[in-house]
Amino acid sequence: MNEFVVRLNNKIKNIKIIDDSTAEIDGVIVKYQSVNTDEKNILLKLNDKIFESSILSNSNGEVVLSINGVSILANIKSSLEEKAFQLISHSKNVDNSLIEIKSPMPGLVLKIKKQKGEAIKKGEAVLILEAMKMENEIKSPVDGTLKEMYVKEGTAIEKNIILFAVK
Amino acid sequence: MFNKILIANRGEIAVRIIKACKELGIKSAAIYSDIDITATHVKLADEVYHIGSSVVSDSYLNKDKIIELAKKISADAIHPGYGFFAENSSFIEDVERAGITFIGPSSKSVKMMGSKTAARALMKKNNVPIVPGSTEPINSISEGLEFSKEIGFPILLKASAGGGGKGMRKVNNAEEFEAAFESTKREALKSFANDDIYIEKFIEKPKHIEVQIIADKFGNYRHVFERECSIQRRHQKIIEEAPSPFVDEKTRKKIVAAAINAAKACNYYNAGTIEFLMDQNKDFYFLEMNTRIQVEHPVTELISGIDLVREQISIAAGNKISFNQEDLSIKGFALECRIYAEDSTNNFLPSTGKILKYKEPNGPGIRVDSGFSENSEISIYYDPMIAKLICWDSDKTKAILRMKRALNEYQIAGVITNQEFLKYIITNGLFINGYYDINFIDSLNLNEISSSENYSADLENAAALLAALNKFKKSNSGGSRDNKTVQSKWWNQNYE
Repeated sequence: MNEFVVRLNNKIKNIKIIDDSTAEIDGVIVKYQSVNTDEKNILLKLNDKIFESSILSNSNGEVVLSINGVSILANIKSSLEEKAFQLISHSKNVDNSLIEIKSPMPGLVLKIKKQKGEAIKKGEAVLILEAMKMENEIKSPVDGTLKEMYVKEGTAIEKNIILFAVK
Repeated sequence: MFNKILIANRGEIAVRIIKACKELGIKSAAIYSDIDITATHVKLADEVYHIGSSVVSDSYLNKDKIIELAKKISADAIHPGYGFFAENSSFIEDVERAGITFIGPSSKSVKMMGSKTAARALMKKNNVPIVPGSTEPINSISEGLEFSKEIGFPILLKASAGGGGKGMRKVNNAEEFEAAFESTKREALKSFANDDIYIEKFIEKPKHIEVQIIADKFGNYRHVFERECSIQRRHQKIIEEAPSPFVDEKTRKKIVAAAINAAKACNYYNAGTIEFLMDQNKDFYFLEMNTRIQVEHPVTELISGIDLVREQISIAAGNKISFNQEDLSIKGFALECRIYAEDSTNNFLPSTGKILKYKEPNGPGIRVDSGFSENSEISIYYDPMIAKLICWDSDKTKAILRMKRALNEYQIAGVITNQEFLKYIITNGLFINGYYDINFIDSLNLNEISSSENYSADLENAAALLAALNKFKKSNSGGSRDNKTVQSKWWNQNYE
């Protein structure tokens, strides 16, 4: 249970913890030191560099890290979990083409500009969300058809609510 | 001088005013809404008062509550900062009626400059050049269309009561006019409770140049040179400079004289800013006057040595301006970056949340005006500006290098910030060499910036290793004791 698969920034890294000062990153042996300065802050020395780091959140294998002021989202699985994940994703025939767009912040749905079934282009505004006294256009990330609109004009919504789906 | 000042604001500007009060030996009283209990201004003030819920109408924009409180705590003056009540003439009238000094201009001056159309007419009369366009509100789509065709597209639709870049839209042709007219009116009504809008000729490739002025109640007027604020997104400034690299000595003489004329035209006292658009021929046009302290005032302070907030307070207390015009000279160059909680790769969408990690840069030539710290909330209720990072050096090139260093040192996590975007702008050759206008950010290929976000291999390896170590420790629980052993080894290794 000392081998892990980490996904970050569209890359996959294989990590093996050998002992408390040696690890293997993608097959390369590295020296490290890790010092917990308090509950959430860690000084990591990797080879000849120090990284001032914090674990900001950690749930369901999604770790949010702050390293030298840069925030990084990392998905982590043990090698066993990774094997299970590979098996499931190969057997499941999921429809990947449906893209759901979530609200990036809480706000008020001011105006819905596209109707269900309408063709939309990448970058085209689908609805206007008012937050922080500004009108923010929520755009479609892809070309396609508006498959579902989950909100109505005038509704106040929370962050991360699914607004609409495009296919 | 005053005994106690109530600061009717929040965030970095409230902090800035509290610091000025402390230096002047004046008691500072801060107000805060529910969510702002963790904000910095609350921790610094001599006295703090909870004013209401997080919604602005119940807190920072609740006139009655604020004036009632000022009376109750015997504050003899109110400082409005910028935004909120800073340019609200009825607030100023009510404050004065309550026997409290408003640290700002008279309500009459604010009224004269508050309506953009009236201000344009006033400037025209006082020989301050204005952008061609209407000096009266436009009442209908047909009237607006006719007027626009007369001066020629593209035009700008602007809210008469607007400012700070809100309530403003460019219209390229007659087809776009109707939709733009309606949404500008809607936004104007919501943001400024007034849906009057007017039309201005769209000036190609202008620079935003503004002049800092200051005047007292004895009719003394001074200017503190110009600032350039051409780097804007959503029509809001994000990078400001002083002096402007574009303004030569001859142009400077003309523009500061126009600014003093503008201030005199409304019998102004207090610190104020006259904003101009400057075209490629260095001809300039009056845009608006901001009758308050400006967000970007620190760049002026750094090149002039004048403390503008202290000066504001002193003038409000009935003192003369503390310096003469000939005492001033431009020393070096100052650059300000506004640190916003927003996603520059996604249309500058505001980002909300708790600041989980916060560490400011410091060292030679660095000033940080901030309103938040670790565990502060950046909420949907207010503007998402976290702080202003200001750098001074002997020239622009050096100030940019210093800014880059400071942006790299600045650690903020928990919300998305525009730090990477700011770094991209200040190191762009066009910015360094002065080839930019107010459309600079719109002209950039923002997709290129988002894809350029590649962390160094070292950083990625460190992140992956940290994530793995974290999971590894969890699965072998009881690791807290191990940390101590690791720590002692750490020090040993340094002496090996």
